[in-house]
Amino acid sequence: MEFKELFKKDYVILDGGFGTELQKRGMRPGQTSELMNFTMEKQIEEIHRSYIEAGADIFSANTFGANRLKLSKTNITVAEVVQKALSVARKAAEGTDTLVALDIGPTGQLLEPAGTLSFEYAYEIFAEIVDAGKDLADLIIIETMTDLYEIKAALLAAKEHSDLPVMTFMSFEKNGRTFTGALPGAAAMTLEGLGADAIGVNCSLAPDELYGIVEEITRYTDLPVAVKANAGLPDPATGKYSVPAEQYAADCVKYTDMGVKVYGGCCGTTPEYIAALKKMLTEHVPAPRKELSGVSSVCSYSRVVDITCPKIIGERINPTGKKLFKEALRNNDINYILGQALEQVSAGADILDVNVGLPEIDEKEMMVRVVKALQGITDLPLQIDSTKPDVIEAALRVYNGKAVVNSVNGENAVMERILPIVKKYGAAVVGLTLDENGIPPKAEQRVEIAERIVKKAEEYGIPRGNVFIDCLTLTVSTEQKAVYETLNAVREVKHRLGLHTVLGVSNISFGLPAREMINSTFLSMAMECGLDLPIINPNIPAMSGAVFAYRVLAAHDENAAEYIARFGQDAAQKPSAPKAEVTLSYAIEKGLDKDAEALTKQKLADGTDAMDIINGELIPALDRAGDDFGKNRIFLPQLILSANAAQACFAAIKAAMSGENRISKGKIVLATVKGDIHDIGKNIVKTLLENYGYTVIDLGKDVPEQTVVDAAIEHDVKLVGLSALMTTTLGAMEQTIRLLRQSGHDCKVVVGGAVLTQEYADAIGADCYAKDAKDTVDFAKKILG
Amino acid sequence: MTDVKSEALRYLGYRGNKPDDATSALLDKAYDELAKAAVPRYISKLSPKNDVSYLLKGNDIAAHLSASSRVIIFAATLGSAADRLIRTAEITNMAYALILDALASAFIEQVCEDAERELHEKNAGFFTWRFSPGYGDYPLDVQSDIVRYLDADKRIGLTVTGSDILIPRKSVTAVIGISDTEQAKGIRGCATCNLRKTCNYRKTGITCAI
Repeated sequence: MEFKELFKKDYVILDGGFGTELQKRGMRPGQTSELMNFTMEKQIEEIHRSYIEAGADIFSANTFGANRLKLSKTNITVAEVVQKALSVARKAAEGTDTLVALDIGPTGQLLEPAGTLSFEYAYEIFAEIVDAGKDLADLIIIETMTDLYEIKAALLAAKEHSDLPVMTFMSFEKNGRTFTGALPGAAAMTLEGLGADAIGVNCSLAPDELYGIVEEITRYTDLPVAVKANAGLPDPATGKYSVPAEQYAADCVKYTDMGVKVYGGCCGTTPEYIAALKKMLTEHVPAPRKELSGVSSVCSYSRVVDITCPKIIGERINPTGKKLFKEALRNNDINYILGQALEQVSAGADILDVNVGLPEIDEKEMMVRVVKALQGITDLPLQIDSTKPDVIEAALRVYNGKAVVNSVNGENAVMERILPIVKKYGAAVVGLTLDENGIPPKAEQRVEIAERIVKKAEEYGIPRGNVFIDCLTLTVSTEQKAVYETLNAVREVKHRLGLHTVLGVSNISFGLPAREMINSTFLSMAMECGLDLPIINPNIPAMSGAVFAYRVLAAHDENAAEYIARFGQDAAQKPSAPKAEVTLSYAIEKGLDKDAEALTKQKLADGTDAMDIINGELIPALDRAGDDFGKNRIFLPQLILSANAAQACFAAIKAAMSGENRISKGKIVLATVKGDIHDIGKNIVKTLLENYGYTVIDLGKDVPEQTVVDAAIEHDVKLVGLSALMTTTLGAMEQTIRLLRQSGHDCKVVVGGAVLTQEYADAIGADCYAKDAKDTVDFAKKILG
Repeated sequence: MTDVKSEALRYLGYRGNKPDDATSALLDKAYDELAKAAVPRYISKLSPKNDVSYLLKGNDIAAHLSASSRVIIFAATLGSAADRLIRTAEITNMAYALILDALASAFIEQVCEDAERELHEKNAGFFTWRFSPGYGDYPLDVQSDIVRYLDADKRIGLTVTGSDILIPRKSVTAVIGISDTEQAKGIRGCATCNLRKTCNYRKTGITCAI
């Protein structure tokens, strides 16, 4: 039977627990289940048959852990295991209608940014499994995944390396999330977007503990939903599971009311459970699924943004017209960009627009780096802002969730280039109401382009709800009458076409003084006309404030709860002016960053030379703090607070002089060595060095040896700092130093980290062993002045 | 609870010194934020020592368990949200990140203490101290075998990288020996600490214990 045919039935039954069945037949703890394909072939076939006899329509071959990471300690290849397991399974299914699934479990390692496994490498691992098994399997089951990023890699590999149907299962905890924080709704919409054929939950909990989770999944996808629960928990003494077969089936009745179509079992379930499920399903045929609410949503793995009222798209990650941002892009200063993101997060943004286009940089490479870095520190959904299809595709590929693409327009060529990518990755897309003839002046012409865009999107299989229309803001100072054309178009698109609307708001006030007033008033007018997604600078209180206020006034923010939470303590939080007796030196020593910033600005305004501030106040103050630290008069947090205050002082100076003479006392490359991911120590060193005026080229953690050498040569640095915290990664440090020496590049190397000693530093050829951040600064002063 | 805060201060080098007001305020804020983000979980398996001998490599663990007939293999983690909290703080406020990091280290120790107490209540016998990979000559490369033995990735979301680092970062694996008769709890303190050569306290002739 074909998968598609099978899913026309009222319900579909899967198999149950496998590991527990294998143990009953003699597998010992510590043995690798996948290797049993070679030694327990008969028993495995017997288990498969027992599930077929119990009524399973689909069962999984014994390939769950057959990936190259888990098999690395054996001498058997992935292809050998996968093909052996599938041929045993095929034999068991012979003469029946039952479908055989290639079963894919987690790699066992965590993906970046939490872990060290790259998304691209995870994809390769899964692709190898799919290639090995696709000709012998009827479908692919990806299961027990707790990381949405990892299951995305697996699903992409399955779709790109085979034509087989794919069922996806994630494992959730009682708190309604997976171990890595993924939400059921986020998983459902992301996996559906990527082309899964059914979405489910397996493992971790008993059937009566998964109702809420499964219900949430049914609200975010209309794909078939599947449940494979555990038979409760094993008794630590006897190993017997707590939920018996009859109970398991009875607990599943509630899922039939939700319209769940696919049933099976996980740990602790046996053929008896599957038979009980079959009996239950003949008595309780699953109800038809409820219609979806029609609300559009986007998400990261752990945050779902339902567009039920105006949501803020933060516009600050964009180099246009920003000197410092451009400089950060040119210098690969990702932390600056992350800082811009976090500022908008705390200002109340719901979605972040990401634009890193600059003619002189590789936009695609930068976009991938920035998207990966952003999703490591914020879970706001992202809007990928580029006109280049390759940049958009690269970003969507590595994005862990459902993103928005900004943008297409009514031009056929543009839609044909970009919409297939939007479809493939299941993203939403902004459609600008312009075409090859430019921006039409009249509202109805823009509405017509909107209709054209949505029609084209639907032809590509993109649902209407995933198309957000931008009716385009023109500048009021040049085209005063055009404002109402825009607003009327918004109203039509929203209320007649029933589509979500987006607008870049700030354009409206170009060329006028006191732009904020124009911007926020226009924003309020637009929201009342039906604007859902204003693109604004949320850091301006009048702008984000207009949205928060609108949510109250339009009765979206129930009881003004959010509003009060945000503004209720406003008065108490107002920063007070620095007290008269606070000097810049004092502010830095005591770690008063706001005061340090204000006092620096004041001094610059009074005409004090920037270098005089740095050499006369900032550095002596930092030195005093360092000295106190050395003498145990203050401790590391206080030293870093001083550094933070110095950083605020530096930032004020940089903002005032950017583009002209950049102040730098020299460049230093810093890296946490290959294999090591403990980088808090290195980051402390970086903070301190930067505040002594050095330019730090931070290569991050887990840095390959050659990357350090290349960076040292490229930036012609005289000092390289290496950090390692594990005995297991000291070898990588030694190798990095060896390669640096071999390259002939003339530079000093300072090393640090918990496991290092002076003797070891000497033995691996470092020029200096720094026991703490202060030591590194002292050495940098010696080398670079 | 305040134990965790004072432990964190000890990790930060205070050793009994009072932090200044700014640091205290950050410590309180960090504690609240971490308590919300962390999802502590632990898992353990009790078995005869001989059944898990492949997990017990090296002389020091053998000595530690010499009087034990049974062992508990144990793993605990704060979950990945705690890592993320620290990572995010590193962008905006390094001092805050440092304090979070120290608190998280103290917190996971507390989780282990609590878990051990629970295990003690459930299992009769005399316990040794917890002994972790990295202590003495007990190699870090058993981490992946321990995680696999406990099914810890599936059960508590704990994984190991190719260089034997536990992820989420604030996690612990350990072995506890149990005997039916009273035994020495085993070596603890500087002798088995893997930082004993580089410890800043020891350089000045003191130890980290207050």
